[in-house]
Amino acid sequence: MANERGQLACLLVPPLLTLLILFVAPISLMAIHSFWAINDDYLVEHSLQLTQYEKIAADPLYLGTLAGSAGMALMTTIGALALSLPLSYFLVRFVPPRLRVFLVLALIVPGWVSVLIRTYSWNLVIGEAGLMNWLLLSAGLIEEPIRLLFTKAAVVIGLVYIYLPYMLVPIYAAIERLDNSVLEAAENLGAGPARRFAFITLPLIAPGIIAGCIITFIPAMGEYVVPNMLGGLQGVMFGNLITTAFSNFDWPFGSALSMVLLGSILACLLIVGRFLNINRSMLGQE
Amino acid sequence: MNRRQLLAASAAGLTLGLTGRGWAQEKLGGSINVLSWGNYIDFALPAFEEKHGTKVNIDYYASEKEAMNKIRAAGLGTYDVVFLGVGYEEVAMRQGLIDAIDVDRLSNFKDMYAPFQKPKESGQHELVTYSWGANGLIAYNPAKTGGPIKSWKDVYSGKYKGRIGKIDKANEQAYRSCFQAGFEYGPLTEEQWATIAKTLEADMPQVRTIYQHYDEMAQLLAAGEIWIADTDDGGFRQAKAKGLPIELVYPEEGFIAWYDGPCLVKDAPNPDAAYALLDHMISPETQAQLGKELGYAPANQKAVPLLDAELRATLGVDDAEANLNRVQFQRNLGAAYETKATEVWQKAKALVR
Repeated sequence: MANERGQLACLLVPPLLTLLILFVAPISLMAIHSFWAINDDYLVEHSLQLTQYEKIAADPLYLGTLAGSAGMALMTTIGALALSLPLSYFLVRFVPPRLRVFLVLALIVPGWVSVLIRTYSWNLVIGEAGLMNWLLLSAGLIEEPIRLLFTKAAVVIGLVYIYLPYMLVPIYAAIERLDNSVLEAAENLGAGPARRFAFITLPLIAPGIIAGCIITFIPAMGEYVVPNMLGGLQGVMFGNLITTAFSNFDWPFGSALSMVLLGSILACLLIVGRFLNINRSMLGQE
Repeated sequence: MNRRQLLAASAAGLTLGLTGRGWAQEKLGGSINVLSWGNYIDFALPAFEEKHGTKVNIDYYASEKEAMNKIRAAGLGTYDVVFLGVGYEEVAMRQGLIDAIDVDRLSNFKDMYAPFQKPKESGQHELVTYSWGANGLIAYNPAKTGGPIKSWKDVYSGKYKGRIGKIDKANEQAYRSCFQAGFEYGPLTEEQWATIAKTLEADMPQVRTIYQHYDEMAQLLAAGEIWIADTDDGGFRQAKAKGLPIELVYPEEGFIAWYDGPCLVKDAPNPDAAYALLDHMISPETQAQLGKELGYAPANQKAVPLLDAELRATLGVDDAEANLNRVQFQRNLGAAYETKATEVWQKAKALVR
């Protein structure tokens, strides 16, 4: 028994230490910083106060931007889901396994390239003198170039593109794990394709969908590179406010904003968890 | 040894001794750690390394605050030289991060323009000026605007709605709007801040986008996304050098001057090499190269004859002395001013959204 406990401790200590050093300690430091303030010489004053949180609560700019970011993250999640679901279904059901691997890789490999480069490439595509307008103007489909760059739509397009693999992989894995005999039984009992998809496939792949939604929504909500490069004035998200605070070296305010973002995401997860029982969904259990 | 041989030997010994001493002064060896903005001093370093045999380890930063933070994080005794500007040298001095500079140890200091030779009110030299120029300026493409632009009033007349770009820097927006609203540069009252907020609110619906740095401005102007942009003189010259058909405007409402330069970090590990680098950065040769490479005006007047007539005209160095006497220099107005400027700027951006 003691030997077993020793083995368990040996197994648990390294990951627990890693979590403590790389996760708990930095977040705790940030939480402490959020109760401090800077003086006129940019030095942090180590006296506990609620100044930063009062500032955030008093100004609608911060909570308004937080709500706006949640909206953008939600649109990104819906967009990525709308693309990933049919795409994964098509890949699993209609593409031969050997070719399927290459197609999945083709969707994931661009993710290895820096997010800056991938986002900048959209700049060249949707810009006023970009590829999209050149093609549409050349084909005579439009007379004036479309001004898509520096709009909210451009930010959502960029975010969907960046986060598509995050949604695609869990959904693809869930569809691939589907037991065909269940679908065949439903078909033998007279269920049509739409009925089979709605009542058999969808509930069975729900854990993959929920996992995909969560791992897309959370980083999209804190995003600042894509909104900055594609959204301009229209794309200011909560992540941009945090970046500005830290680049001004107002660490207490940046920390307070980060804690508000962290708290809001946790609150969202708790609410969603209550309705969908996330723990089971994430583990793929019934 | 006869008298002639003795004299020859003495002369040879004296020459060798002097040369040796001179060589020892030139070749300092070792290394120094320098903090600077990216691609700002790099062109001048190979000549320094070759002359003094000192390796320069350069560490880049994006803002003065980041530089000061790096010095604090690494601890005194790590960095030798830090480049600061627009009043941050005073903040760094108050924080005990830099030492006063003994300008008598700099052979090129006497050749600087007179205003750059003046010590601070404290009687000390906290920085030697490496470069200077104007900010709060406007770059525009006359082919697109269809006519000249002379002022902020022209820019925000409504004619160029959706074709204007703004730099995403709260401090810069604060003084640009300050001039636009008819105020003097400096600390502002609450009423003045309210007027600045209103000025920005009125301007923002006409703005197409914001950008983080002047390279981005050049790209946006080149792509035709914007026709008019916030700029400083160096940013404009670098964009113009890329072949952009743009013009520079010193707005009628006013503009501001900036300066920056190297400071001596407190407890510098290699102070002799640090002084040698300071002297090298303000030498006529480096200063002339600064104009050629980066389009920034030299602070050393002996650099002017080393520039060709065209570059002298572009940099405006022939009028430098007169300009320096009438222009107002940017300074550090404190963290509270910056926090307020950031607040006003963030709100103005949010209004558009």
